[in-house]
Amino acid sequence: MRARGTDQWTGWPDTNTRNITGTQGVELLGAAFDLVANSLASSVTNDLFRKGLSIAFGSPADFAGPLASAIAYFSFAGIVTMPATPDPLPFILFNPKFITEDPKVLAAVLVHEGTHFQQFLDGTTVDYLLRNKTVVDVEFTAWWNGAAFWQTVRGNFLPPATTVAFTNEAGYQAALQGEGALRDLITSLYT
Amino acid sequence: MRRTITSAMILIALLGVGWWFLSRHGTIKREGRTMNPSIAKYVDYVSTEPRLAVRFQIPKGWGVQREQGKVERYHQIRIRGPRNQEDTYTCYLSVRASPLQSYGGKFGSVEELVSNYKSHLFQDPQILVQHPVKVAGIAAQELLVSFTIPPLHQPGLKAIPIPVKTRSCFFERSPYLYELIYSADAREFERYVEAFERLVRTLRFK
Repeated sequence: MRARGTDQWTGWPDTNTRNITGTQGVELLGAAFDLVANSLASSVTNDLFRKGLSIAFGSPADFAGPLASAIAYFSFAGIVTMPATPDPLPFILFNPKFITEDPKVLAAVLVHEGTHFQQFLDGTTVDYLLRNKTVVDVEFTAWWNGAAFWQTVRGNFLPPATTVAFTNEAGYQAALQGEGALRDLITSLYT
Repeated sequence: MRRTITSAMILIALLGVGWWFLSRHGTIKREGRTMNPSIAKYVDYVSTEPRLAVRFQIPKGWGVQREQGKVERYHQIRIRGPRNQEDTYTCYLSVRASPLQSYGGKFGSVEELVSNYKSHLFQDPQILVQHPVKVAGIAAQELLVSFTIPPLHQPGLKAIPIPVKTRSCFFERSPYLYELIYSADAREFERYVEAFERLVRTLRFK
């Protein structure tokens, strides 16, 4: 796991809430959250809990167009209010197509998207927007952390049989080739 | 008025022919990047990183990225080539130096490095070629592999399978293990493989 940097949102009060919202899959996301909280990736859920970040299954409309096949995404705006509370608040949405997945499989995705939230907190996102960091820097940490978590649960899902398990396993295998190889892959895919 | 319309129609027709000609025979700009059917010119690249003190030739216009490991110890030069037709994969060359295990790295020999590489090609890997070669006068292992990246359901990516071919050379020059890599969409692999051959042929240690 790669730890995040120093918090840049010094004026954003803590709410200390496990803020899983929506009308569907609340129990599933709660189970995924608890799995991460009790794992080597607990720093991710610590941040999600501390700021009470909203985590939910979205609607099909939330996953229209280029996001149609995404398992989940971290959404942010409100950078201009930094270091005060961002307005609007960021959130994580899961694609309702994947509501039948196992919580352990979705937990690895929560680690990936939660890492992007940590990057929002520590200024990496701002650095990316200012072009001081690349998409490879940003995605590498999320893929690496997701792979580190997946390593602890993947034994239950071999060979991978679902869409999300396949995505998790692909990132994990690339990470086992090493940081340089994983960065090569991310470069090829995203740039 | 009629003359103006006729002139405009001729101009549009000529532009259409010009576009067709360029798209079939020339250089087309696609999403801000040049897609050449072959590589016209090479330039010298000289690394300024003392732990990766090499020089070699790269296709002119390909972007160079220098990189140092954040969680693992290595130095790397990545040279990005054109994007594939499906807009899912960008071909690249990489030159990577990782310290031997006795110098704080992960692997103690070329054999260990190659074995790890082959074990984690995901998915449906095929080892097409593996044979000994020489790089800058040093004994190396060359590999040509193919595999398929499964649909990746990540924001910003098209969730479709990508057939990939990768050609690599692995060798040791203490205190480092070196990897030279060319990777591309398998359907377009041959188009730029000469860039890898040029890299291998021209690589020299400073």
